[in-house]
Amino acid sequence: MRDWTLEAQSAALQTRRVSSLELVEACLARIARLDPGLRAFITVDAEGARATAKERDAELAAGRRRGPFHGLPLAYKDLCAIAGLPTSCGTRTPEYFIAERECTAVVRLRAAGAVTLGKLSMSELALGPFGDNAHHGNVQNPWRSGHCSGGSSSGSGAAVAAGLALAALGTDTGGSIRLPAAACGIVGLKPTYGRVSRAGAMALSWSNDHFGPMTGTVRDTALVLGVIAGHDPEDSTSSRRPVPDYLAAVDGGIAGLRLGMPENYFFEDVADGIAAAVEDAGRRLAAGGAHLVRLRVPDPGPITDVTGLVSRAESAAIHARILKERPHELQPAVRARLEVGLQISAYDYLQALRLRARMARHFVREVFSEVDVLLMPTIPEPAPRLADVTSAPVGAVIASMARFSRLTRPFNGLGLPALSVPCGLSPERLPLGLQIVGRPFDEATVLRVGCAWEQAVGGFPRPALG
Amino acid sequence: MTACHALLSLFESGTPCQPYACFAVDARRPDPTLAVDLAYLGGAIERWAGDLAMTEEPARFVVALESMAPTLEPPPATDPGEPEPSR
Repeated sequence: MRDWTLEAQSAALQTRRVSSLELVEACLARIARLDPGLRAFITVDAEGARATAKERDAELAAGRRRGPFHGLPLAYKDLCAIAGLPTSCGTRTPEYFIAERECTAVVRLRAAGAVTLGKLSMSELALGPFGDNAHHGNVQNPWRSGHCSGGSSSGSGAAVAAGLALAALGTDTGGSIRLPAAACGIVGLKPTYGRVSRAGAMALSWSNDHFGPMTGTVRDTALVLGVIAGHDPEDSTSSRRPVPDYLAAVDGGIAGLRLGMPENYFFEDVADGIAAAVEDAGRRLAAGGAHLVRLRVPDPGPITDVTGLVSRAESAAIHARILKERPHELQPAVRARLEVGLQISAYDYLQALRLRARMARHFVREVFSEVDVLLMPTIPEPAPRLADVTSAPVGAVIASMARFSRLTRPFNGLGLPALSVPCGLSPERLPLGLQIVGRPFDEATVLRVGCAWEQAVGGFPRPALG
Repeated sequence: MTACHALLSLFESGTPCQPYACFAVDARRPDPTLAVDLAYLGGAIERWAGDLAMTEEPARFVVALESMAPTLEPPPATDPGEPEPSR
């Protein structure tokens, strides 16, 4: 499993130490053995993956390499439109989302040579931070069955952690990449809003949705981001800003960088072991030449509230049809959260949207004049037991959702890049997460700090699944 | 029964609910549940947005982020006296 990364397997493919078909067969074998318990996949396209892998092998034999992902097996959250595969979005309806065009991020990875293994499970309509799903089965945490995988990109987190795919894509509206990355012990990046096209994927909230990589290493995240980032005419919010070479940037070292540790909000109501682990990470990074700075950050409460209101209003509008025609199909907490959006006035919604840029300018000015990145926990507690978050009354479930995602949601509204990297294990051997937040479009520095942390701890552990 | 439970029970029964009719907006932060948050927010947003410039358009958020981004480092300059390396 140590070499079960995009980078290592790409090198192995290029030197013919392994074939694409062998990689696909290895993934399919792991899926057959482990996924009946994990429930990470909704659709496995075994025959499609084998056929594509054979094509990639033939191309390599003929001296043609499509790009950095040539022959590498990847899987995608089941809200990405992919020709020939159904897109349930975690609902009971197999073809819930039908798009006129394929998901841009998937198309770009495929053009770079990637092989599609299938579609990954997710919280219903991407509305939930735990990874429970009444229709497709609760995604189990690969480190400890019976515990949450995190959500909403639950299958992406579990599949990468368990080695069912070399990497995955997720989406993040309030933490849905970073929460499962932290809970499953992998790397997950929510890029800057506008950095990666959202075209061809089910929306939950146009204003807060972000696409991003979920991988086993920081370098693999840089590799994926380099391919999926960049302007897309199909997404009106995608930025024309040039895409740097992220892979080249990650090894730059962190000497002289100012690492900020917030004194307010982000370490409050956090489990003792998690706060200590992140504090320790800050000290170890500082020992590598960075400067640790304690600072108070602008209260994230208002931007979190504004983000929540915008998300609820937009998600109710986007999913109005299932909400009005087939509400009984929705899980109770999902239905309740969507219905709240129907009560939001156009005035409040528009004022909330107008507030975002001002709040972001204020936060960036106050914080990033003092530091280069912020360090904080990703999750306030290790992945909770599934039974605890699924059996409670609806109001209590929604309250626990809000608590679990309180450290990630501010950065969706602010639009800032935020990376989650593993940060040790709890006494129960459940992963903890370190969140690294940077300036707009400065993913390179965020990844650089993440890579320095990965090197400092000698690589991230994987669950012992055999 | 809290305001949140009242709203949820209305949802369960299918009774139509007027925007914020079930809540009194309170300056204090109430119970941290989503529905109550939304009621609280109606008042909070009114206060926060009171002095917003008319130029604050929702569609300009990405432009705002781009304006806050670090300056991209230009590619290394080539010495005009140096011949280009052969390819």
